[in-house]
Amino acid sequence: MRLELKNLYKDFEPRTFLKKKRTSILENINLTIDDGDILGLIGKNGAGKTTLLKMIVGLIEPSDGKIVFKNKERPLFGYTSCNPRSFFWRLSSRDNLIFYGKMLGLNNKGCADSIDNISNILGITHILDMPFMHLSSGQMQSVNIARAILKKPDFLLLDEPTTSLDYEASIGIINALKKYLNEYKIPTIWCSHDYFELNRVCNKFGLLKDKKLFYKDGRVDRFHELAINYEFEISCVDIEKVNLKLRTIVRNRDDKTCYFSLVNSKRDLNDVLNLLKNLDIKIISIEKNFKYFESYVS
Amino acid sequence: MKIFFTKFLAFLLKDIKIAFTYKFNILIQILTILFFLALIFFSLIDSSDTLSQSDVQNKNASFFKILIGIALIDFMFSSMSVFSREIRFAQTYGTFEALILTNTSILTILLSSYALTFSRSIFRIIIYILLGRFIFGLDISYGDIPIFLTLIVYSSLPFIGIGLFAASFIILFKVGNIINFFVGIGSIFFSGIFFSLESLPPFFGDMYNKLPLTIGVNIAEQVLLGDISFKEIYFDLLKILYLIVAFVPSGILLVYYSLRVAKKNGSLNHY
Repeated sequence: MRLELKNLYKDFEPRTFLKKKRTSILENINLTIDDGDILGLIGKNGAGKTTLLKMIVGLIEPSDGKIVFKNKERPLFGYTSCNPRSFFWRLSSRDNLIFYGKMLGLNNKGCADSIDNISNILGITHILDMPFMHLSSGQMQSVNIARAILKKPDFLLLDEPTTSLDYEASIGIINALKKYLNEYKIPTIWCSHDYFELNRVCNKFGLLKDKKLFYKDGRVDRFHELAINYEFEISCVDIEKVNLKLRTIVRNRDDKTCYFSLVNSKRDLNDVLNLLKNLDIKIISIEKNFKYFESYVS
Repeated sequence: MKIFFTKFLAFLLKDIKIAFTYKFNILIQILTILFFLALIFFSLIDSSDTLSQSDVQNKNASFFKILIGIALIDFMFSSMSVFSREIRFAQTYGTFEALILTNTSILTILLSSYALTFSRSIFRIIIYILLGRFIFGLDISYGDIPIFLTLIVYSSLPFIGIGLFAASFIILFKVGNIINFFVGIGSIFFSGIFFSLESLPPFFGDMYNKLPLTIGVNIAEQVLLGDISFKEIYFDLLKILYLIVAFVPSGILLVYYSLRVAKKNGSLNHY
C-alpha cells in the first residue's frame, strides 16, 4: 500500500455571527509513505498534526490538493485519537471491541479471535471484562490502540498513542506496536511530542512547523549524540569554568543553579560530559532541547 | 443487506446491554405504559353503572383512537428524534468519528442507531394492545395486531425522512433543532387526537388531512374498528407513499450533504 499527499492545503473558515475569517492551517503538504514505513510526526500543539491525520482518514476534507491511495480506493484506517470518550463507557472493553469488530465486518469467530490475539499482544487480557468506565486512562488508551488494530488496517495513524501511559506501560505498548508493525509492514504515521519515543520505532521523520511539513528519511540517532541538543543544569559558581572551555548560552534558574546550552558545537554529548567531569563540575540535570530537534529535522 | 442487518443487530445488542446497566430503566418504562393506559381508561369511564350497547361501543372507539394516537405519536417522535439525538450523542462522545472510520456508511449508522428505539416502540405498542385487551376489555383480535403494527410503521416512514432532515441539521448546527420542533407540534396539533378538526377555522382548509399522523390515525381507525376494504383506504395509503417518496430520499441526500459540509469545516465531532 502507498499513501501520497500531493500539494495538500487546509484552511478553516470559522463563521461568527457577522463575518467569516479564513485561517490557514496547513500549506503545500507533500508526503509519501509505503509498506513498512513508519513516519514519526512531531510538532507543537496546534501545528496541525491531528488535522493532517483527520484529512488522511477522511474526517476532514482538504481545501486543496490530493490524497492518493495506491492499490485500494477505500482503504481501512486504524486510527487512535486521544479521546477515550469514543467508547461506550457502561460496556466492558470486550463488548466495546466486539461492537467495533462487527462494524468492521468481522464475524463472531473472527472478532473473538482477533480480540484474544490483540489483547495478548498489548497485554490487556486482564482488563477485557471490566466495565470501560472503571479503567484508568492508560488502560483506556491501550483499548483504544486495540480497536485501531482489531482488523488489520491498510494504514495506521496513531495520534499520541502513549498519552496517559506511565513509563513502563508506554515502553510495553511501543515495543508491542513495533513488533506488530514490523510483522505486518503497515504504513504508519505516529504523532508524538516525544522524539525519543518516535526514534524507537520510526524510519522517517516529519516536522510540522509554520503550516509546512519538513521530513527526512532515516533514524535521527545522531540527534541523541550531539551535546548541542541538551540543556545542562549546574551550580552557578561553576559556570565560569565552563565558559572558559565552551561557548554557551546561560540562563539562571535561581541564585544557586543555572542552565546552559552550547552554541554552534558539534561535540558529542559524551565528550562534554567527560569535560565537565574533568573540570569537577557536578551536573544537576540534563534535558533535551526541542528547538534544536526542529532545526535538525527540517 | 446481510451486512446491514449484522450491523443493525450489533447496534441493537449494544444498546440493550447499555439499557440493562441502568437498574430501574426497564421498570420505569413499564410503569409509564401502565400509567398512561389507566389514565386514558379512567378518563373515558362513565360514572353511571348502566351503559347501553352503543355507549360501550363509543367508549371502545374513543379508547382505541387514543391508543392509536399514542402509538403513532410514539413512533413519530421516535423516528423524528432518534437520528438527531444519536448524532448529537455520537458527536459529543466522539463515537461518530470512530464509527465512520470503520467504513460503515452514514446511512447504516443512522438507521442502526434506530434499532433499540424501533424495537422498544413495537414492544410498547404490543404491551398497550395486550393490556388494553385483557385489563381494559379492548375489542381487538390477534389477527388485527400485525395489520395494526404494519400500518403504524408504514405511517411513520415519512417521519424517518424528516428525522434525517433533523439529523442533517444537528450535524451542521449541533443544537436548536427547529425541524423537529415545528413538525412535532404541527403534527400533534392537527392530528385530530385531542380535539375535532372540524372545530378549526376554515383558514386551515384541509391542510391537516395531508399530515402523515392524521392520515395514519384515520387508516388505522378505519381498518381496525370498521369493516372496511383495502379499496377504501387505498387513497390514504397512496398519500403516505407520496410523503415517503418526498421525504426519505431528500433526507438521505441532505445527510450526505451536511456530512460533506461538516468535513469541510472540520466540525464533524464538534458539539
